[in-house]
Amino acid sequence: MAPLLELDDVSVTFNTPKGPVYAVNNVNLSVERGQALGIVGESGSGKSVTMKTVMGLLPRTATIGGSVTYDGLDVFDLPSDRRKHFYGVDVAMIFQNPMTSLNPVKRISAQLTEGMKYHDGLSSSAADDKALELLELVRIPDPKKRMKQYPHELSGGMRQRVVIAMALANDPSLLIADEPTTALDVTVQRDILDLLDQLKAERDMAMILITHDLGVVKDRTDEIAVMYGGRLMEAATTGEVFADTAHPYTEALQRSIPDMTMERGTRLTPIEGSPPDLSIKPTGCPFAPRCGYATPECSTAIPDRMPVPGSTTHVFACHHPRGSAGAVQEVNA
Amino acid sequence: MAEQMQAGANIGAVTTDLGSNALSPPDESPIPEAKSVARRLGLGFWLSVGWLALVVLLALLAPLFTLERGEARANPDRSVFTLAHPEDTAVAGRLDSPEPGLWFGSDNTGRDVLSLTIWGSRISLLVGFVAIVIGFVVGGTLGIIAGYFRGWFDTVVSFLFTILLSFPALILAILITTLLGRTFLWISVSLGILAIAPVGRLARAQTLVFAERDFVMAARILGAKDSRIVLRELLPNVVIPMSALALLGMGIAIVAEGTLAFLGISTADGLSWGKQIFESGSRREHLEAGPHAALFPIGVTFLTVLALNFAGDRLREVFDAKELAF
Amino acid sequence: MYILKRLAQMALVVLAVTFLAFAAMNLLGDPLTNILGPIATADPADLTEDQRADLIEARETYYLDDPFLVRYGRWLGDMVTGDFGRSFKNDIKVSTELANRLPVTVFLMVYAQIIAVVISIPWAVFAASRAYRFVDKSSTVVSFGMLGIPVFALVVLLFWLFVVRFQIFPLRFDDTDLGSRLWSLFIPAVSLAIPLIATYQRLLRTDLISTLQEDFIAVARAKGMSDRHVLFRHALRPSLFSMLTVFGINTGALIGGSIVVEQYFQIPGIGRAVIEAIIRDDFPVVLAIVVIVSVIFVVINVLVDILYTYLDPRVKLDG
Repeated sequence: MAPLLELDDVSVTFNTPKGPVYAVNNVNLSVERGQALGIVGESGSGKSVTMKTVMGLLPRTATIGGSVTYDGLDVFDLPSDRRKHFYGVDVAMIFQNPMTSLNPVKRISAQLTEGMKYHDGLSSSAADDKALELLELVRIPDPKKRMKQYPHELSGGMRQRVVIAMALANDPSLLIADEPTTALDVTVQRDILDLLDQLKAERDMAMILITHDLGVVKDRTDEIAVMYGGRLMEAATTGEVFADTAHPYTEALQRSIPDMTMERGTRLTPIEGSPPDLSIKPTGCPFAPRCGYATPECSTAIPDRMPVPGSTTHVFACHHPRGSAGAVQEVNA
Repeated sequence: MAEQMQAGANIGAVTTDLGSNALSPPDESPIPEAKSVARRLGLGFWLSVGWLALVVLLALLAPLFTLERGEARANPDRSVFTLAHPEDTAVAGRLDSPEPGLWFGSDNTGRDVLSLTIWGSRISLLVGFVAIVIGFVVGGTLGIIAGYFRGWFDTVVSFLFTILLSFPALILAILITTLLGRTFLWISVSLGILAIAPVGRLARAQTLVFAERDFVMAARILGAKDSRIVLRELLPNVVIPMSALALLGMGIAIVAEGTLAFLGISTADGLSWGKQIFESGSRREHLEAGPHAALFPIGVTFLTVLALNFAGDRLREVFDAKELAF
Repeated sequence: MYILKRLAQMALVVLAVTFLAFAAMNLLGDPLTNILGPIATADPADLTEDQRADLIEARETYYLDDPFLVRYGRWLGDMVTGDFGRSFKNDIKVSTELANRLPVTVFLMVYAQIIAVVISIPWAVFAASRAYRFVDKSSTVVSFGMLGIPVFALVVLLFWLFVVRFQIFPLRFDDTDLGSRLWSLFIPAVSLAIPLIATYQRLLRTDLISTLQEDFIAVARAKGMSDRHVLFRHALRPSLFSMLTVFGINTGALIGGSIVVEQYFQIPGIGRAVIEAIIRDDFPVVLAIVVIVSVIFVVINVLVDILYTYLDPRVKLDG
């Protein structure tokens, strides 16, 4: 069966007054029904832009290449009746900052119910009932009171719960969560992530979790895609990514996660240098300038995406892979 | 002690800053800088300035190519580049269409519309200019002093500005001109009074911003006299960005005078654009027979106000951008 | 609490405005001359019986025998109780004159505001939804041009086009019924509305463009709401605040504009009354109108301020 969502060779270029910015380049991704995919990368890696492409939220200055299919349908060319009730119904999205995700001059109830009324044609009272259920589902204290309140009267954690409830309003099959906890207090981050996990399991919903923190996706996703400089560096099942890391960038990301099993005094290693300038078309691997294993070849030839030998799910794009892929390469050489 | 040391460090920083400014590298010489500002202002700005220059030039030079009273009528073969005297009636027929020598046609009493428009511009422009000078001198001074010294003076001045702004502008102008009289001077004064509060408020706000800047702080710490700080440091920094406001304000003053003239309550010392438009545009028969007599001065007023607005707007944008670059 | 504070400020401003106007009449020149004209200084022997009675009445009405501050207090007391004095030129009570004329002016101004809002909001939404594209850029040019035409030029232009040349609208103000009143006031109201439309369009467009960058707009679009819904239900209301702020200030310009419009189209409103009074040197009437119109202006601005706090739930009333 075809995957629920599939991105094939997707590229996004922004045409700015200062010239083109190559934000996403030839990205392939897919999510199966009921599964969770984590997309990991620093800011500027193109992970958010990729998901905005899926959601049709890019500005007019963007040129999009490649294709996005949902359930076998071309997302950019949906039949008109389907297009009207696609976003919010089939695919919903949660954004990074709950402080700005809610309309400041509309009551919570209005923001929760408008999608139900528009897409499902629910009456006001039916929509209100469902909204109340959703608020209970996301475990907001005193949901009746919240319905009548304005966003500024709620804490950040509560707002993100409202945003999640809003995304669930029309029972989507795929939920995209773009750094849903980055803007929140550390103490509530875990609660929100656990809530998302639980909702996903209960509703058999597919989920894409975007994050800059490899630690966040470690125990929560089935597959992981690592992006850098608008390109896919490595994609595999979560187990493979951690057990048999192929890409040096993934390796570097792992070294920067704090781990409970680490001995006291172990230093976390930050990645030196800064993300690449996306307005320059790279001639080689975008990570080369910051990579400890880089050779002259790395800055002259863009590495192809290739499978790790012996795996059908694990791909990487690197001239000098680590792990089993690296071992195989050395044997061949 | 610690405070003193910090103050000393600040002065050091400021002086090195000044030093590096004085010795700016040759590639930042003012000539390419000026060129880029000129380009940044855009074509529309220079078209506006060109139009304004033309209007001002014609107003200034009008006496050179205007004939004496009665001369135009006595002299049918006069050069097409001379103007009939604006008060001369029957230099042509009633509401004659435009033709060479009578470029804007004639009005209902046979006066030369172009001559009226050019001579009217002398009053419109001068009233606007005098009003804005009064507004800037009085409002600017009050605003800078209030913003710099704060305290009770600031409270009083700010309240005064609030009161002035609490009158609808035209109503205030009517009140003042009714009491003071409708001479050229008093009309200018009353329009100048209208400009005091908006100019003063902006000057006060700008002063508040600059009084906190390092170079003013440094001058204070170095023990400069208040008068010196106000004149040398604040005045140039506050007034230059306000030049944009001067253009916009002049547009407003010209419209305000035009409005009073249109209502028949402006200066009796001559015919400005507003009065000319009223005289040619208030009767249906005249508009029917020869709309040009009203439409030409309307067009000129419109273009002049538009040019002032546009040039002022562009200046403000460019100055704002420069503010951000600091 | 906030409202009380605002009302107290308003009272102070009203007091200052009336004081300034009254002081202008009393201190610039001789008050009796300001009120009555030349007969105030003429030799009493040359005056008629009526004129001598006027002299006595004027001294009483404006309390000219009292010290200045007492004079102001008593005059203000009269104004508050609705006694605005009478015209010494045509024997009309100012309060009667106002009662007859104010409604027409208010009607005209409300009419103009409605036209301005009805046109500017959809226009701004349309332009903002196509920001920086051709339609938006050209509509910015059009609205800039609309701001450059003074009302006195606009009335002549519109009168010439729609009344003289194409004869669509009637020549004179027609007050027989509501329909004819609306029809005959259409061109005058449009003349007043055009600068308002331009101001509102420009402000609302700018605010809408920045609101459309907000996250909650992306959220609404991700919910699959229609473009119309996103623009009108989500983006519009949080963008209305600057427009509302100038609503009060614009009322001042509107008052000025309606004087021009009423004078030109011969509409018997308060603006025409003030010009008529000026022309016959009837200062008490001018003073009364100036004071009343200014007070209305101040009150509108305060009301807008209070309304503002209700429209934006983030602004707390007790702040």
